[in-house]
Amino acid sequence: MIAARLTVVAGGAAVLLAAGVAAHAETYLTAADANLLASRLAEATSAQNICYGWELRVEGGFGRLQPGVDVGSNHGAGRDVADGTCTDYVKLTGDVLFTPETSDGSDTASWEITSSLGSPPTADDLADIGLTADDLLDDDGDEALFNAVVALPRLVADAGLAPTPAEATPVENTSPAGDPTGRPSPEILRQQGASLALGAVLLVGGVLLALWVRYGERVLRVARPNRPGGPRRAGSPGVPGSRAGPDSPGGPDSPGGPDSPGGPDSPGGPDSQGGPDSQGVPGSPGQPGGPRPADPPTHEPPESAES
Amino acid sequence: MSSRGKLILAGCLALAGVLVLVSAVLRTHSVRSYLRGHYGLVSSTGNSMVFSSPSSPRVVYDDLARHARPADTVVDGGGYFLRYRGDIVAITGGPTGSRINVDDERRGYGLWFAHVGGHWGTYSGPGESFRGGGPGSGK
Repeated sequence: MIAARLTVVAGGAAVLLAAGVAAHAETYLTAADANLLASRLAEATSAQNICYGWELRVEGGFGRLQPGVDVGSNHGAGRDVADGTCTDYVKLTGDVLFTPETSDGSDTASWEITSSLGSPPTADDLADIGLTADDLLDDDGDEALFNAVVALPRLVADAGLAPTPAEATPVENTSPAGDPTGRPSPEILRQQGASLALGAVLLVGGVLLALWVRYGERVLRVARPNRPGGPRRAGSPGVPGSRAGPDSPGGPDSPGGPDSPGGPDSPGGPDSQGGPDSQGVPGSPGQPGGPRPADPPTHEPPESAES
Repeated sequence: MSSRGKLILAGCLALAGVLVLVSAVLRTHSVRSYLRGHYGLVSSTGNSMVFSSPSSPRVVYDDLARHARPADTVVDGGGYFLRYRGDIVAITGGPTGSRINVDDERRGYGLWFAHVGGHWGTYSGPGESFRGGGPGSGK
């Protein structure tokens, strides 16, 4: 009995959930926009004797949009252009695929213009007026669809395939039914964006290079001698006067490293065996004879054995 | 390369950058200045100007799109409507070519409301407004 009640409750919840999703999901164009578009196309049809329509196949709406086919024409929203008895027609046909967030694939969109006319406008003509199929994927993709379809009569007329529809005339509105919103970007950004970016890169690059030459290299020069094991050249074994590295056996005048056997005048390091004149103090680390990192590299003349 | 050579190179880079930036500023056209320089002025009242051209609306649109690129465009059977930062331009067919109306955006929005209403601003009337939320559930 309880199981039966639970089944009924679960079934009811499922029905309500499905009804809720269906109520919020919508076709690509709202019904009002589709009716407005159909009426605009009907005006063009009466002027040009050419039927116009659209058909957009949507896959994967995921609750927001209804997967399916959004169709309409000058005959009305939801009616295909072929429903009438038109001699000639022009139709925008598109496909949109929305993939779920969990999918690796991307959303895709494409469109084309099909027509009974000889050389109808193409998607390139739509691109010339700033409309591409990828616009269908944007949040205002419905507006892109509307703009593309409503432009068809003008593109057909521009191609010389039909007379121009009624030209627009300005209408003085003492109380316009709306106000412009949003603020387009400045002209210089749209017209010279690439030049601005290039100029900025060159200018900043030049300034940074100048700063580097002025200060960076100086900092490096100061820091370089203080760096143990830095660029100092290791002394060549047995070359008199060479400044030995830590493991260099050193020459007769080599200051020697910690393990340097040293020469006769070597001050000797902690492990230096020193010579007769060695000033090294046995067992005192860091005394003369070890590496002297602060000394700049110089070219000292080799000392004589007698000195 | 010596430090002096690097400094000279840095100076050349910075100078080239400045020249490119100045050139970009000088080559920027407002749509009004471009129209004044290339089209015949028919009338001018306040912020409203009317130009004419012997070319078709499509040719005029292509020219403007190339030299004074609009921020947005609406094309329908009535003509070409271009939106700029402060202006709205309407290109319509005339008896001998094209007629080009330039108005500030508020006046232009009202004049051409039947064509751009709902696209570039608020709207009340048949169709109300575009969904705007659109296919947001996709990626």
